[in-house]
Amino acid sequence: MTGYILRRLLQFIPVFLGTTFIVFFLAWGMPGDPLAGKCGDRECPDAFVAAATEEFKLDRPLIVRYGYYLADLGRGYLGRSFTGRDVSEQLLAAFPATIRLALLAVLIEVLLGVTIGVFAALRPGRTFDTATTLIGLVIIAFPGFVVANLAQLVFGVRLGWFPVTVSDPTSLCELLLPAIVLALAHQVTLSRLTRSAVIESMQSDYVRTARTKGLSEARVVGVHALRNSLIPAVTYVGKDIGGLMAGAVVVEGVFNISGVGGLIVQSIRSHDGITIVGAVTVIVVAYLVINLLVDLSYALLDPRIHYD
Amino acid sequence: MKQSRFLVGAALQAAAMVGALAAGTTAGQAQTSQPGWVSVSACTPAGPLIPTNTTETCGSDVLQPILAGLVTNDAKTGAIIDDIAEAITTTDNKTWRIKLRNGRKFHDGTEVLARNFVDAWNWAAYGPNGQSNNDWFSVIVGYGDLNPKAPKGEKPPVPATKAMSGLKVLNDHEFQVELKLPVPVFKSQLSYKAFYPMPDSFFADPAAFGRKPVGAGPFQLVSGTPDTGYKLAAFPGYGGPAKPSIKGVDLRIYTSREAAYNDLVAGNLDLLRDIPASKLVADLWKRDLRGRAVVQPRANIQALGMPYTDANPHLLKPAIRQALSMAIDRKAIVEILFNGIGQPATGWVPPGVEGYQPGACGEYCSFNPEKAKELLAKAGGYKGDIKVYYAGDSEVKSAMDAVCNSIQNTLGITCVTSALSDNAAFRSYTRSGKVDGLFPSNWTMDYPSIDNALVPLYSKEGTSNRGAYESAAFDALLDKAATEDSSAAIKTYQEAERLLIADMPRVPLWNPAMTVGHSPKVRSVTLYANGRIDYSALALKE
Repeated sequence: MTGYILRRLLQFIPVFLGTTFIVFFLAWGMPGDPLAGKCGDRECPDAFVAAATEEFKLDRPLIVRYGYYLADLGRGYLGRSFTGRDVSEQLLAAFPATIRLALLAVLIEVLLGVTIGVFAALRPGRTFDTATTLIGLVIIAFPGFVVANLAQLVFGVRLGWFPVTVSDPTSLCELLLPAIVLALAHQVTLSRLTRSAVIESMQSDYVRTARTKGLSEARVVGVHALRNSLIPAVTYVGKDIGGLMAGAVVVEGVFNISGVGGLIVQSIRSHDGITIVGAVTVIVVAYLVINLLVDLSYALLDPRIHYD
Repeated sequence: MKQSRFLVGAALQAAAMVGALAAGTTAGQAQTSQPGWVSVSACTPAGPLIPTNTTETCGSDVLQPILAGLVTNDAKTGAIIDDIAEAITTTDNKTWRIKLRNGRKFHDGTEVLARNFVDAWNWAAYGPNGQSNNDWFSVIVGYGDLNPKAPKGEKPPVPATKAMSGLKVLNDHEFQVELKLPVPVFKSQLSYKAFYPMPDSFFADPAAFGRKPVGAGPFQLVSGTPDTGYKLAAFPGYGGPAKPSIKGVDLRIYTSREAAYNDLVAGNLDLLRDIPASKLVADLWKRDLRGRAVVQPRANIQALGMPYTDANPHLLKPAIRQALSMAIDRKAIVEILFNGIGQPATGWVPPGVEGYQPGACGEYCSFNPEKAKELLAKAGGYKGDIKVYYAGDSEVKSAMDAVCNSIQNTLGITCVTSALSDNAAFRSYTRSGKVDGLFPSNWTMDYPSIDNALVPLYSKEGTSNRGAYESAAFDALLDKAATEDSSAAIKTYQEAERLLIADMPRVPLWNPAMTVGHSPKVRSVTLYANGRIDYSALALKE
């Protein structure tokens, strides 16, 4: 196991270098002078342009600047954005809210998705199965921003059950409504995945063996069938956590959560290459770590899988 | 049935877990504000809050209630009134003697003295500090010493001095400014935040100031960060002309105006400026807010810029420029597209600005299809397409489409709008008369005086003359105005504005208005000409 983890960690290095390299060149390669429009409606004075060119080494070739950037990263310094704020400070402000929201959304997604999936699998083709399939299709058909705006209008503005916007992103209570909105669409896929996996396991030999051993049905389904059906679900959830790091832009915008997605969008608009690269780099690392955890969980879920 | 009971149990347990998770943290109704405070929507300042380096809206919104300068403008009348200054005198518009009031204090308790101005100006004008408002000081004698010209292709040399020779501290409460050229409206310019004083503590640690600015204005920053918003409390030691009646301002950061609007409607927010366009349709916002809506003109002009170079030989002909101007149905666009908020522009200077003259552009800024066609025919017609470039990430697309359609329908020239990827691409592409078509050109007044709408935009040396316009007669009038006293200068500037009709360097389109929605708690709202809220004049209901 340790050997496997070490090998995987070593693989992180080329992936990490490759993505930062690509993102760095994409971010700085955007057309237009990155300093244009930095001084409101006026043109920037020469002194400002000279100082910014010097600080961000805008007159050097991109590859040299990438070298400087890597050297800074090596020292644990993510650089300073065009606007004079440290990128690490911007990320520290944005990531906690996004991570909390993502985890809460995934928790709700798993609870709903797995429960619905298992119930649907126990009596495939019956009312519950058909009904959840239909409702799921309706939910998926709605674009995320429609659901988010509708939920905000109905439960926030009209009924007042939830705060309209998130004023304090450390409060899980305030994050609940956006998390439910995010979880709703994702749980549909998860419940379908769980359903088909459980149906398959229910027909397997080990479930028959468990039944003949006289185990209770709850134990048969809950432990033997479900545990062996979780691999596709865990894979999907892992992908989801990574996706929610930057992919919740729309929902974060509706509920006024200053998260990572919004930070990246804003940085792209203002040509703030350093912030873009910093934020994407952290997301890449998060993706890599989550993928590793997902792969390791396979061995726990399925005794037939070994890493060594 | 056994199995489902187990699963139901599991599901219930899980539901309880979520509940516990949610309940475990305090119910997040941090929205209720203290009595006497107002909550206002704000956006994340892009950078450190240093007035001489803040040119974007979000940061300026935070700084405005914190800072005070020599003069300010009265929100109601727009007139320039003394703030920290007791007297600003000159005999030749070149040498200005400025006397300060005794006893005005910064929020850190130190008194505002003459050196706080002189040091601040020298620091901001010092080239290596790279301030975005650096060029505001270029009229002061000695500015060149702080900003030595760079040899071609090299970095600028380090200046030999850190102080401009044109600034002299006479005593604690008096200083003298020597200008290179006469500037009759220098006093109006002083209302811009680049000229505001800085406390001694700023020079020791500008970065700390950028996180927690210290000014001499009616409100002091108590706490806050760019991402969580700011709390500004009324400054008890404030001795200026704008003493507020409210206790404080709670600036809340919103990433979208739609979110803020929903909070306003739900009663969680007291003030929102610039209502989202989708809510202006059919006066939806006035119904949502039950009439708690304010529309006020602002000192801003949207125009259509164009090159005054051989980038497009057709557009070099004044008659074609005039024809384009007369082909645009401004009134219909404002009525339909902007729901009647704003007004068609009738000149190059926005209303509410000192020196504004209604109808400066005359018949050439009114919709007249017949005359437009006639002018075009006289000029020999227009061959090929006309392009309107705009920044794809801005909100001007629908307005530019409307302008383009209006031109095409009236003159029969094929007009195409073309989106450039974003603001940076747009601005580099449309700079210095390089572009071959039209482009939207927005100008927000830095200070409300006519010269600010003319000199930077249309003079040969203008810092924002993006069309590269040049007119000897126009420049001669600006030079003449510079030698006159301020009331005569304004007349000369007005004459210069009327001169623009002949060449039509930009086509004035409209003057947008500022929309504000407020909560029932707010009795009245007054806005400055730049569209910012005058928190000192804000009145709450008992």
